[in-house]
Amino acid sequence: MFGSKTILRNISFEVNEEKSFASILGKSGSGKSTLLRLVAGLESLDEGSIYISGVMVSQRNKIIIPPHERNVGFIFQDLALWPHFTVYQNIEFGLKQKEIGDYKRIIKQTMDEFGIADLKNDFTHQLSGGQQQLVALARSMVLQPKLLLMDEPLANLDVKLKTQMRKLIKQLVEEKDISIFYVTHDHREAMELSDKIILLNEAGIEYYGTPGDINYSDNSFVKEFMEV
Amino acid sequence: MNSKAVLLSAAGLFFAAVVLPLCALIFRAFINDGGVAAESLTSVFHKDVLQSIGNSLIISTAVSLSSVLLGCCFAFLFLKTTILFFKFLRLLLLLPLLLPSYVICVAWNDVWLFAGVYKDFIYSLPAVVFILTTIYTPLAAFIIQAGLKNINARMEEAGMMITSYKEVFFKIVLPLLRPALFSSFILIFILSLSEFAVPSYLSIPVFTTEIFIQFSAFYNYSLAITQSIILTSICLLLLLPEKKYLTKEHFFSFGKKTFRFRVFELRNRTLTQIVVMLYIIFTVLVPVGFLTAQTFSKTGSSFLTIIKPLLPSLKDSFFIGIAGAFMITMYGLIFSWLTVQFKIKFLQTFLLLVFAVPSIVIGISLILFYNTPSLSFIYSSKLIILVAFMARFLFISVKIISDSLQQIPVSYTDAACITGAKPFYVFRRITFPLLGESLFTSFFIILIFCLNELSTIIMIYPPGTSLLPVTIFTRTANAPQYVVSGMSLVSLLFTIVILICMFFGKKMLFNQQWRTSR
Repeated sequence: MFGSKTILRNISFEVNEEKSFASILGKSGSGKSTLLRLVAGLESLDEGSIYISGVMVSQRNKIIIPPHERNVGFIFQDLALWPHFTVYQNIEFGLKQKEIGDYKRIIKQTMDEFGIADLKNDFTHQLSGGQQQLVALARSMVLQPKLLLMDEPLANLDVKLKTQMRKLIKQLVEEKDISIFYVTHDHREAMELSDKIILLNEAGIEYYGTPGDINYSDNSFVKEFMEV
Repeated sequence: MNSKAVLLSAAGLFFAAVVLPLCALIFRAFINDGGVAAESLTSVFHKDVLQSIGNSLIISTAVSLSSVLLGCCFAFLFLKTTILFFKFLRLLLLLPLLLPSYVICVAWNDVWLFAGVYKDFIYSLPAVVFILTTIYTPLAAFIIQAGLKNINARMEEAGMMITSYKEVFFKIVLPLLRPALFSSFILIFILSLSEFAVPSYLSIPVFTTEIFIQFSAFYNYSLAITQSIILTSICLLLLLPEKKYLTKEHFFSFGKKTFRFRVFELRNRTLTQIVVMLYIIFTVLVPVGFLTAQTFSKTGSSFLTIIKPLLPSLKDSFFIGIAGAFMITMYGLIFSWLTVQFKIKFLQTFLLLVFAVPSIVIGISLILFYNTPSLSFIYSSKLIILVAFMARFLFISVKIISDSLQQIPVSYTDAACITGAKPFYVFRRITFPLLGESLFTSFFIILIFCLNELSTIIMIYPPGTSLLPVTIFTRTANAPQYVVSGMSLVSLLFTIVILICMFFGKKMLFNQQWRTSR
């Protein structure tokens, strides 16, 4: 519930733990971002429960496991790069919280992996859109999450950059053994990237299954949304 | 205790210190010595009292109308046209708002006496209206400019595809500006209604001077209280319809990307430039110039003889001002946090209502509440001044800080929380640095207001405390004109020095690379 408005209801789905890419599709206001925030632990549920790796993390009106103990990363729609920190400081922040001893080596390694080592002393406003995406990804990935939540992260990029970033994200799933929840309203993007699609509507989940099967759905909303 | 409880306790302290005295005042207005205060209620209909109420309303209406009209012109010229040196001109225009009103009044008095203006004009309603208009025009320009900034260029452009800009201005821009125009009108109306120094200096009987006389000269507390309640009721009634806009709209913007807005080429740029510069020279530079000339025409090189007796007042004013500004900024942060993060929205409305209470009424409520054996430790110390400052200026600080706090995306703190950072660490590393500029601005703006505050302080300052505005104002009655001008000049220089410190301090502290392109 957001104020007096019910955002999500009748939601129930499961996603594999490793190397899974689930896209969450839906019209504006259907609750896609809210779903991600619930999984992250940034919002609490009015009803039901959420499990991550078999552990109940949220229950009715209660956040059992706080966000930072869920081992999830979050790429926000606006990327939420802290403007008063340099690229290096943005990536360093989370590692410092975890009190990891050799964190400087890990940062260097991550920055090299994402090709942003040259930008380490730059402030985030000095970066291009694509570079900002890389920094946001690096900031989340440096903490080695098992699940990465992405809230329309490519919405503001041009076509060429979008294609490059999609490749990189796919690569991350394969190489890092992580799962991704990816919010988008672009069904083509979802079809290309995902192995599971969750289509939300005001009434709840309209479709949950593989991209291949969606074309055979009898649901009129699904057909209309996917332009079948 | 969790953080919300701690912050709410701090807010509770403010209510106990400031709001309780006001509630007690209302109670005393109707109940006097165990009975209904009927006599004082009827005595407000006395001819003299009605005349002072009439004067107050005439002044307030005229000042509000003229300030909003002029402010609208300046806001449009500075924001939406290619007028030259607009930043410098805007800064100069703002000066009268940041100076004590009695300093401006003394300066105009000097100008008019020098120019041989008839005394009938100098000590008249139009003179008060004129002086207050020069003081409040920048406030109107400031608020209307914020309103103009929030009008997306696309709205104007869509209109311009259909009709001329003149039509667009009257049919699209002005209606969209309506909330800003009304808010500035109401604010200026309330501020000029509670103005004390200017009418008092020019011997014009208004409601505030009437209350002051009843309270301080005739010791007719009952009548003074009743009049205070009437004055406060007028202010609050005017304020209520506009409270939504005044509390919700952003008047201050820190790193916030506003909409793109259109800038127009002026057809008669030279002529407009000359008119604007003449207005600023006439209303800002001429009075200040005369103040200076008046001072040095008599004292020559012995300006030090004027400064010397003012040194204790300067010292007291400075330290109490610093303490007040620091405390109000801290409280501003607490209230902003409660409003924005914990969504206790009514707090800002409540502070707005306290802000609308005329300063002289606040003074009376504090005297009556704290002048008791159990609370005399506050009444007889400098604490009473800090309480008065809190009542007067907390809303401004909360407005500055909460506007800034609202502009920090929630995702910034969410992203930090996900990493496991503790709430205080997130506040210290993420929120506080992003709020730094607004805290700094709040501190300096409140410091200037504290240094210049007269109406409340003149009623409550404890023995042994000598504050600059009170010292100057009380000496206006018996000191030669050049001494009064000299002292006003000192006050003006004092404010200018603080403004310069603020300007350079801001440049030094907040000129980091990450801010430069924002």
